[in-house]
Amino acid sequence: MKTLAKGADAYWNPIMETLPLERLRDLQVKKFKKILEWAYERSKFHRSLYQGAGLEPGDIKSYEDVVRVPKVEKAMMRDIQRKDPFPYGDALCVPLEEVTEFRQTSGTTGTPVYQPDTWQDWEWWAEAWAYLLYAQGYRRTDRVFLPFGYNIFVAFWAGHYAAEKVGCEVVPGGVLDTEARILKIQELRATAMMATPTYVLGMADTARKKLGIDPARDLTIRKITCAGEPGASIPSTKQRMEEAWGAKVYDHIGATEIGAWGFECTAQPGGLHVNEALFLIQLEDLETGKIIEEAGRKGKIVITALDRIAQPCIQFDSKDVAEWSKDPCPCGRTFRVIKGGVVGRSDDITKIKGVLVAPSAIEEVVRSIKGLSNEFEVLVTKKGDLDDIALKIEILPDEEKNREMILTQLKDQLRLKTNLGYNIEVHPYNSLPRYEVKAKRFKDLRKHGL
Amino acid sequence: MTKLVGNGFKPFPTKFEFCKLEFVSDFDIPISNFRITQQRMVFMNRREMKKMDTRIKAIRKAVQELKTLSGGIPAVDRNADRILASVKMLEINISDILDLKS
Repeated sequence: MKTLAKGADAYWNPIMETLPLERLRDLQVKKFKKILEWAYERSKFHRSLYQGAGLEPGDIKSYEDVVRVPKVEKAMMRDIQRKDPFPYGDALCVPLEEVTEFRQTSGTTGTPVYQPDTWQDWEWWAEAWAYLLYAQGYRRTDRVFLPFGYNIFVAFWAGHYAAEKVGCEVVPGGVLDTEARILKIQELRATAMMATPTYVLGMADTARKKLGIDPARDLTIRKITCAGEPGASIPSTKQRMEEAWGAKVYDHIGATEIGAWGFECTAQPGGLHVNEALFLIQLEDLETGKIIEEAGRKGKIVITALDRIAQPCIQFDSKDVAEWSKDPCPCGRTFRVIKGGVVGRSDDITKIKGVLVAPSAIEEVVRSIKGLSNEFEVLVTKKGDLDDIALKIEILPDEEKNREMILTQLKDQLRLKTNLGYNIEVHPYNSLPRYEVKAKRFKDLRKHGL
Repeated sequence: MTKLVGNGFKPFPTKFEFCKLEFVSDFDIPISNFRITQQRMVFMNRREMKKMDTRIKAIRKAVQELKTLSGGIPAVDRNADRILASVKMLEINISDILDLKS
């Protein structure tokens, strides 16, 4: 029996993950043409979209040609699913009887979008997650706990199947409440878990306050994979989680309509690798729409899932904003890195008092101040013709004595990092809403005329 | 069993470092050379990948034949389809790279 090369065991697929960029491009173009043809031949939606743009699959010959393919937005997917076949609509590329999985988006940005998958697609979901879990150090020796309410959202379902694929022992912490989950982690000596940043922090809080358990000292979780929110790529939030659990915290990014397309590796290069084996990912200039290949310029992420067949994801406008890192990752992967993860969503980045602000910048400041709880809320309203931005925070009970110092520090840092002045409201500890899945901490009420 | 000769492997290799890894199989046949740079590490040559691809194609063919032979027995057909979904992942990971021009 052959033995894998030393060093190769750092990768799920050492061949693919170290392929030179030019070969990855060739592979992506080859597969892009294939999936485009697949969708054109089988889906009325895709065919009319491309015909409307005067495009046929054969027109795409190079990496540069990809931008010619019209983009698909989430709003279009909502319209599609009002058509036949029920309930998915005419972007479906396989007979209905081949669909074995139903999921839907969380609905945080509007009506949920339905997502059909075949067995092959579901295997592909797990494969994409296997790339990321392996890069984050998950191995057969891990006992992985999933404190996740297994439901209609894809969330950590694919993480579960991928962990099995990698060979981990998987503990589904489905209907248990937070306390029961913590006790089960302790009882089984679980070594890894997956959750949203909000829940990771909330669990640590519950463990300490209600159970007298210090997760870093009393539990054996040593790696945590986050998803659903940008927190694990926000340095101050990541630090809070790592200190609370005594574990390495890794980010991952994906979406129901796309797949798990980006991940942080154990080298933690200050950004996320994009999985160039399974996806074609391009950054588009926010104003000109031109493709950005160089580091240091922010752009909108446009993604194609190269092997997803039931409801193909081709040139999907993710609305996420990112920039390429200039440095290769020391882990040796040739997959490019987006610096600092996704910095915001193009529809979230908003102008307040004439200044462009990403909600993640506010989170970065709040979570960096010692003495503040993990919860906060931002409310943007209109007062007359002027924008008003209120920041609701909580001070930890044993830090009340430092209130003035904390508030001064917070104001200074907010001014420095976001160029804005805020009306800061201190709320009693434990009074702001707590979230288990995707938190809604940024509320722009100007859109509603408030 | 893996025998390491040359400069030896470092987790974060420096530029143009060169090392030769000699694999020893059950038949004690050395099968690969590896060049490691900061940019990339090559873990397998084309000939070995071809061999894997041949096996992957054979599995697909065998499973498809199995489906034909079953005459529609659900217990065979549906399990065969699940195998084919896994075979597709092997193709994505290995076979798809082989027919690249570069």
